[in-house]
Amino acid sequence: MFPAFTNALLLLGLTALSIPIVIHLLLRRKSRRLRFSTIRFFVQMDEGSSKKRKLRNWLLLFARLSLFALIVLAFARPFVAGGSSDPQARKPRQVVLVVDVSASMTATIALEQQWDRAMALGRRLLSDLRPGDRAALIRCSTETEVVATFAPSTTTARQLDAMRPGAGTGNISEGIRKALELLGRSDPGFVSSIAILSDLQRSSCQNLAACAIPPDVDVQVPSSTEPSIPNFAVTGLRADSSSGPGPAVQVTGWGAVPRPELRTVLRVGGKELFAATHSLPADGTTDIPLPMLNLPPGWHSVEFEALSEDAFSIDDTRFQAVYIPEPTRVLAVEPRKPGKVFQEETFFLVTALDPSFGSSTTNSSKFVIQKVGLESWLGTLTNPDPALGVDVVLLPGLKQPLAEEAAALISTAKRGGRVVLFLGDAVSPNRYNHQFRDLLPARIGTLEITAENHPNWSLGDYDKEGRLFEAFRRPNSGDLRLAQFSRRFSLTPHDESSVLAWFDDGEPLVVERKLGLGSVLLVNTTSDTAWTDWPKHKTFVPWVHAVGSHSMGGATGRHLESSLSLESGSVVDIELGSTYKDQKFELLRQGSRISTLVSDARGKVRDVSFDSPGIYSVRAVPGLEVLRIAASLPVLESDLSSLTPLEFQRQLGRSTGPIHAASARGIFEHTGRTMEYWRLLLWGALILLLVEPLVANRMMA
Amino acid sequence: MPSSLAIDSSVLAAVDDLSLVAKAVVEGFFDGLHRSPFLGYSSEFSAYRPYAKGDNLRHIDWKVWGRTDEFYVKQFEDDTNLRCHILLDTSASMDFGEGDANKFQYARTLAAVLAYLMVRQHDAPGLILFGAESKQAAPALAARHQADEIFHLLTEARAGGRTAVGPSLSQLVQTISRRGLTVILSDFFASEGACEDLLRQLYGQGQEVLVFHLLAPEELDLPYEGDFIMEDSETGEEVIVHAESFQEEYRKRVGDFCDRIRRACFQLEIDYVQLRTDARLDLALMAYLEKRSAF
Repeated sequence: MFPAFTNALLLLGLTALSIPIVIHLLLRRKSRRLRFSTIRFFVQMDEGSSKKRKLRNWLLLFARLSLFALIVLAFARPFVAGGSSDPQARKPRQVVLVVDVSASMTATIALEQQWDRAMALGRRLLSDLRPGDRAALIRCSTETEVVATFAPSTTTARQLDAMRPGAGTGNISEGIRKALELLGRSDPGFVSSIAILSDLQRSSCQNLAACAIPPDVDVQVPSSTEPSIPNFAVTGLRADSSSGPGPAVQVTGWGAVPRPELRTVLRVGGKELFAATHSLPADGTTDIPLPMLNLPPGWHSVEFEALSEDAFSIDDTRFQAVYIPEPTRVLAVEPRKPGKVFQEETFFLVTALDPSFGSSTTNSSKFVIQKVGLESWLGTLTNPDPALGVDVVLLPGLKQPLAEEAAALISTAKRGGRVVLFLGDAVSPNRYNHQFRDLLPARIGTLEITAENHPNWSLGDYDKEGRLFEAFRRPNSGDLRLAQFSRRFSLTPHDESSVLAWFDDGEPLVVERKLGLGSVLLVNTTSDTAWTDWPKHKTFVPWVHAVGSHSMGGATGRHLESSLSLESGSVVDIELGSTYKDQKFELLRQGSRISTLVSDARGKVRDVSFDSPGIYSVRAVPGLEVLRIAASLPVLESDLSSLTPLEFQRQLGRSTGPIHAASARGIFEHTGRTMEYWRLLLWGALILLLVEPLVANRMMA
Repeated sequence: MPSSLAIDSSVLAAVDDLSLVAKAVVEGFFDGLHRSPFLGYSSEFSAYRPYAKGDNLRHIDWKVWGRTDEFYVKQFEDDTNLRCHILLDTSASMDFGEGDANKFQYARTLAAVLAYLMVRQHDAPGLILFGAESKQAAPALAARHQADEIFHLLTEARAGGRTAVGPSLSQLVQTISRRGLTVILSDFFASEGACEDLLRQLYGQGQEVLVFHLLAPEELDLPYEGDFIMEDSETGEEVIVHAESFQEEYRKRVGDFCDRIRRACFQLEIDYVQLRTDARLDLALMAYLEKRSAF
């Protein structure tokens, strides 16, 4: 079987074979005649060397001729084929379908969903493939994966039909990158192409320039979408008012017509709590304030829906999971009975914890405060009804502390409560040291008063890592050193106690002692402004909140006290904490079980998928809800503006090298039923190129 | 080749201060510097000995008889002439070498220098030319005109033909009956073994032999580049030679050849001197004479 040539005209280059011959003749050495005294020393050996030299001459000429011939033949591209001389016509095709399954593919245009259009185009592409051709499938969303490697078109078509759009964001460039990986590993005997089945949404077409499409890979973009589709979407929801500004929702429009009466609905736990009509502009984001939600303690599912009736409905609803913690029960012992409330010794403490205490029946604070007098506080504290239990006791300085009072306070602390002891002029160190000896974190010494014309004490240093002063780690959170102290007791902390704050001369200001599950705090000042002006400074309220919050959840809390907000379509790891290590959980959505989760030794659940928007619940197998998660559509998906196929092609990056490296193909190139030899010839030429100088140098030597 | 031969006076002046002392003591008729082991009756008194029957009565010292009444015969130690044969190779291979380094030119000059030196020392130089055929050009003769005779013969001599170290040369050598010195000037490019036979014959005849092995620089180094068709100057045979690639092997072969000649000389207690024809003649001659003077 004789080879044919793709570029037969290049065979004229064989006339270049005359070049080495001419060089050989020109460079051939001419022998000179020399009469020598005797030739007895030349005769035997040089006959041999002359023969070798002649042989080398011929070898050199042959090498040079072969070198030229191989190069010319390689450029002429010889191949052995069954019939046609066009090798490209015989090549089978392979197509990688990059299918965009992002949420935007569910948008509807002219009563037809983008997804349906893309599927129709994909089926047509697959049906155009001939026997011997093949196709692969890549699913392209927040996570991109190869659904099917190369297979006959009929098989791929079945897998394409089984695909459904998700709720994630598209990433076409990542899909193309995976397609190029597939093609790079595939048989080089195919004509390769990539087909993009997408709405070409701009947010999905980021980083196209980084794709580096090889010149021998064709990218088909059979898209017929509109360049811009008007859309309204709920892009933000903040139902929890515990921190930051009040509850609100954001609605954004992209190229839509103004909506003078857009009806919105707020639902909590599936029940409609609030409905209104708003006037929205065509473009931009509108903040809509929501009413303050007075939700009881526990988990709540909040969703806000804008009934926009536009092309894309999945982004009309946004979700949030809200956890309202149980309030801390605070017992404030008031030793005085003044006529005015602000003259009470616990006035500043109670006001700091609940500003509306005593003036409103609604409680928006995290604290439930009971203020009781000296005659009844012991009874309240020792009440056996768990519903009336106390988490924190605020106890100003007592004149006559009793042993049973100490026992009740110790019992409260050991159960996980917090006892906060203040001092004052009424305190007798001897009585306190005797009656509260098992309660006090420090031994109380003598009363110290600042001398005249001598500056007051101030707070010098404090435990910056502990939770009691956690609020002051942030910048601009107030200067604790501004507070002045005119009186104090000298304190000698017990060994098991720890000092959490010091005066500027090093004397203890706050000393803590752990007791059972709880603790006792001794504050070396009064709870009012008798010894200090701290209650008048802005650092007082956050500090008192930290004191009150210190014991929350310490004994009874078994659930996580914060919710999660995610984007739909994402796959995330969830931290449940060491309390939930090595346990099984159920993931539920709207009451239906979706999957079983297993936490690892650190209490982490890995690779949890949230395929669609909604409220998800993580429950321990006995039924306790551990965590509630809200998954909403990524905001980027709501912007339905898209590229035209031409714009898409222009933005695609191109590379100069072919998809298959030459080394990976070997020395022959199989293209269907043809086999090309040009690589073999070039390899031969390269070898001769190395041999020729060796032979030539040997001759010169 | 020049038509007449003239010896460079600077060469002779350099040689004048040197003494050529023959290693062997030879018989001689004339006064000279060579000391004879045989006591003769010449001019220089050596010793007395008692008269023995058969002694010439003329040699009896009558004054001693008058004083002692005993017959004593006077003995004399006499200096004798050295009979020196110069064997010059006139084969075609000797006519090789560029300019002054031509081997034949160099050899003729050296032969003339030796002849002149010998005549001045009252020795008897002779000349034998051996080439295509061998002939005794000048018999050894102690005469003042002998040098002129040899100069003339050397001027007339031409190099040509093969080196015939064979029967004719052997017969000529056999005619050298008296002990003396034989100086051979040749490149020894003869058939293998012939040169050794000649040296052996001279040694057998009791000749003190001095060999000057003459080689041109081109013969020693082969300083050529490229391909050459080498033509043998004696046989006319040709061979193609790639000079650069063969240089190393060639030098080795020439070295082996010289070593073979040197070994043969050493075995026969013959002095061997290899002379490179681009070396100055007087320097080469002085080096040789200094070496000889040690004897």
